Amino acid sequence: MKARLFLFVLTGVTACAAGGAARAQEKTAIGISYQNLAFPYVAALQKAAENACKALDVNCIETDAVNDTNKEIANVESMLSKGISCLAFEAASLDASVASIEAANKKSVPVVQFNGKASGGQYVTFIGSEQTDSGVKLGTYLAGLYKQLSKPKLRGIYLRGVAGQVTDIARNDGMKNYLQSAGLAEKIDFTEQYADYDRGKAQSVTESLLTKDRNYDFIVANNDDMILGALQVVRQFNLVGKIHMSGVDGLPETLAAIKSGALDATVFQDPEGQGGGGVWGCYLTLKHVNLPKELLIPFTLVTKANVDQFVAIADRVYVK
Amino acid sequence: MIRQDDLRARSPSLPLPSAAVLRDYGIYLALLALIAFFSARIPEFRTWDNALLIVLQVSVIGIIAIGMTFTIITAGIDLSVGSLLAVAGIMSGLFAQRPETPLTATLAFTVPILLGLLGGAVNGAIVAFAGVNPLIATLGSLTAYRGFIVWFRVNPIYGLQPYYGVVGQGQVFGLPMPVLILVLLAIAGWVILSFTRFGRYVYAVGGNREAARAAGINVALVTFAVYVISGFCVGVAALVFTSRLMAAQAISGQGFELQAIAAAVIGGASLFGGRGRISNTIVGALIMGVLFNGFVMLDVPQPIQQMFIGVIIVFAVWLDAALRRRRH
Amino acid sequence: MRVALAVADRPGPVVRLRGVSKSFGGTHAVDGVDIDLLAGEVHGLIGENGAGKSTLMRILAGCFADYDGSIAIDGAAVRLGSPAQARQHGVALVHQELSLIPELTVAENIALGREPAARLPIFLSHAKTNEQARCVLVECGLALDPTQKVDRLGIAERQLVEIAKGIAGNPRVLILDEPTSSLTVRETGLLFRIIERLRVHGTAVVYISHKLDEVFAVTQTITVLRDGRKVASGPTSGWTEARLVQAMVGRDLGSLFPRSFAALGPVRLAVRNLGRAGAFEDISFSIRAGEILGLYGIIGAGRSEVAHALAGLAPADRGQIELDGTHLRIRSPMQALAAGIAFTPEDRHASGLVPMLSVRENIVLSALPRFSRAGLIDRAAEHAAVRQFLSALMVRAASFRQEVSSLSGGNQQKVVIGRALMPRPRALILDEPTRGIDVVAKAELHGSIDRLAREGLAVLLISSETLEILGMSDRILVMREGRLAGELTRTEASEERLVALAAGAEQ
Repeated sequence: MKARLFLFVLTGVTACAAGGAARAQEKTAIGISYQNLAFPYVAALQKAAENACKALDVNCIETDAVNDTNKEIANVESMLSKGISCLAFEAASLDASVASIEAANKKSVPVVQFNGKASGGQYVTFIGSEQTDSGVKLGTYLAGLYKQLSKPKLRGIYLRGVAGQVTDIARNDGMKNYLQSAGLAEKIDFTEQYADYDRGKAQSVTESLLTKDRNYDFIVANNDDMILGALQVVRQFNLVGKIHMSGVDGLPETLAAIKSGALDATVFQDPEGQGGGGVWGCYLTLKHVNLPKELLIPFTLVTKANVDQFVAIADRVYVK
Repeated sequence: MIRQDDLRARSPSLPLPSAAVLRDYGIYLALLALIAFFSARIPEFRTWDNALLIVLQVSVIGIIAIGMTFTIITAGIDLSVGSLLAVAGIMSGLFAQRPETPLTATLAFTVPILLGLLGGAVNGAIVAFAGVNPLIATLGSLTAYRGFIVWFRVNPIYGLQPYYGVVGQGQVFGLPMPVLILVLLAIAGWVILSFTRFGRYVYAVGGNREAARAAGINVALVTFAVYVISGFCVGVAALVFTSRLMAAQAISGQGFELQAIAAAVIGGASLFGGRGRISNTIVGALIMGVLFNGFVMLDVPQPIQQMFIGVIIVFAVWLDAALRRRRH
Repeated sequence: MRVALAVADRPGPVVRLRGVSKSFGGTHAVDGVDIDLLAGEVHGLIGENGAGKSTLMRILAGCFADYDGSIAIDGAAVRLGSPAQARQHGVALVHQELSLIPELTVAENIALGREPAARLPIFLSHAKTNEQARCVLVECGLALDPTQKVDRLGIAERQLVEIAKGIAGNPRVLILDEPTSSLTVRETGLLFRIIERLRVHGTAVVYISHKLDEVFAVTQTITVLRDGRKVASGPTSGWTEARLVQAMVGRDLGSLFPRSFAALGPVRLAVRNLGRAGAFEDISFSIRAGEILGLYGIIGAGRSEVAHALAGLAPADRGQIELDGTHLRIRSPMQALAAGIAFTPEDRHASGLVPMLSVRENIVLSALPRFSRAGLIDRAAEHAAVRQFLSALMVRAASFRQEVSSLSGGNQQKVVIGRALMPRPRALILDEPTRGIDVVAKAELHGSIDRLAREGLAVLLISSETLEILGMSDRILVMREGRLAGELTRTEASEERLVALAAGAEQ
């Protein structure tokens, strides 16, 4: 909330300044590198970024790494040789993406990271959410569930994303560490399987697990696509309401399911703040505005109680 | 007086009919062995419900593998099946999202199949009439179809109308619809390959292309047709898949081509052409399905599952080559 | 199904080719050939390799759409642009290179392209297919099981299936291209009976073969092609073998079997009690330096298996092999080569050559270590050696960079032998070295083999051709059913005794 306010203030101040000055000079070129536009969340980031580019009247060159760090660095290098003034970068991988940032460093092009942060290289600022925070929110959800169900031990399925990917590791660590600090690590039992963030795979995995054993208390997933796949299965087994579920992202479909009571919760990620923020970060840097090293946009745990607040945002950036 | 018939040596036909029998029926034994293994370790594995679940889970890959068997027998291959599935699925989903009317329902069910046929025809034309190597041609269409659909509709389509779920989730006499569709297509494929002139020609073209041409067979047309068949199967698979998921995504189907090829190869189809049977392909798919289901139940991590399947594929191809060598 | 009239009623030739030409790239494979094929006549077509016989007949069979000249069938001009069209006009070609589908059965191969339909339109009838195949096989006197898969048949049986396939459609014109290259004496006899039946029936038969004795035995007319042109044609009774060879070559040829029987050296290769379960047993022989030992037997007697054991392709279970007094243990081709034993296989296409590589690359294949230092190839040394071998063997190729698959059969075989000779072996095993090769190349190869023997090599010559074995060998071993049936010296041997030993009729 605080970060959003901060950005709104900046918008006001600089909009006035930018208004006059922008017309005098040539359109600046900002390069944007996304990790994988096939992910709906990243596509929402793109929409928000494009909105920001239009509003700021800058020329944005966009590229897609398609989850491949080789493609990523190739993209960044071609953008650098084309000539960009600033790079807005969403890391595909924690370590391998450092090469792309260093390539920009060598050409003295400032780098603003958003959403995913790589583990090295020089950058001006990181605008995004601390992914471990989303894990913490999942942990909070589970802690609340534990209290609510007042059973000595909880058993659940944990659907993970792509093995080794930045966000997956961060969410896992965040959740497990929170539960450890809350003293619940022993009391909650996870059956973990990787489902590659894929709805279909999550469906298959959940099918097999539930056929073996229906007595799970909850299912959590590292993204909404997977929890929705699991939901299909839960529906078919008529276990809606008996198995408690939560995902991460805040897709419109999930919010609708929360409203109807099929899902318990999700952890909302703000694509507008992150995607737009990346472009804004570059713009402000080029205007020589001093930015803090990190602009963190918090996650929010969405439940039936507060779901309506987020439906509007989701509808703005997600295509139906 | 030298007797003419004495001049003939013992027939040089090669020994060991059991070599061929082993290859063709060995995978049935392998499947039974796997089922026995998992049944012993996991009580829940032995249920009828779980058996149906396994067949249900392999149904999409199985349907695609039926079409893939045709192309592999002609010494060709279709790598574009996963991307084509995504295209057909998204287009189907667009109509399935709309409020239910006779028109939208008809379109939702027929569009994916038509797109499958069209995609297959494009592949077939490039391979059969332009003479491009099938591996390259379908690698190109894999990339092109995927690029197109991700550009066209990157966000998933959900909120599909309830009627649409009948294909993926309906049941007929206690059998899930996808299983029924798989069985019907498998029977159709078997009949075509074993009892029709066209099926015979498919084997001929794969076994010795030049001999087939010399025998007056229209090799180009037969080649074109098998890719259309593969596309048709993909269209049906897309319908089943999207209906099961009740959502359409542009990123679906990645890796399906390898799974379908694995099913055919484990089942004994030869990538050099001329060999392959629908029944064996289905068994190959079931072997992979049993492994997946069993491993998940045993809580084996997914990367280890992949290792196993990889080893089995290599073993199956090695066995095929070793038994071929014994024959000659 | 076409009903052929009796021979006497036939008005003109069944097939009339006028000015037929075809070129590949710059060369004319066939150049303005005129030929008449009459009903009820067997027309022999001979010439050296590359003379254009196969190409000419393939034009008639519809394999090439772009030929020049005219073809008339039964007086009517036709354009044969595809195999299907040729078939429709009743032309059937039995290929030199086997064109069967290995995974299909005998019956399915025979019926390929003309499958009988079942009651429902698009379906096939397996029963009818098998029945029709059985009929054809019985009519031809061939004892083959129509439901057997082709890839389980030996090469001779496959050739018979190929012939049955050609006959099955009741053709007006049957073209046989080297039909007996894999057949034994008895099967050749069978084929001749089939041809006679067809002739009486009114079919026009074309017989292409390098085996001049067969051509004399079965044909009524002989046409000779040379360099794509027709040089002579006339009734068989008017030809002699010498005149035929002269027409084929355009010059006088020396002897077909130039063998100088010189004095022999010490024993080079000694084999004792060699055996491999299921293939051969108790084989013992010795070959001296400068000696050619012929190994005769019918197909399936086990001769190639013995050769494979000596060459390391399929090692023996028991027995001893000694080369120049050293006991050898041969379990792989590498070991055989290292020991000094070289081998040329029966089937040069399958196991003798790498078709896409050049002549040079094929020849040096076994001897590369001689030309390489630290893994890199010394080009100059390589080229010099290649040139030397190519000229010694009289290989005719435009350049040694040419792809080996573009050479004629005879030249290809010379390349295979060259490859075997490059590592300077002390013993050489030749498995059917002149099969499917024209007369001239054959004579040249025989000359080379004689020269090698004189240079001190011990040669084991495996052949099914009695004339060749008798003409070239110092001594002849006969094998039957995996064992030695007898040994004959040059003076003792004769065609009848060889055949008798091979059949087991003589003790």
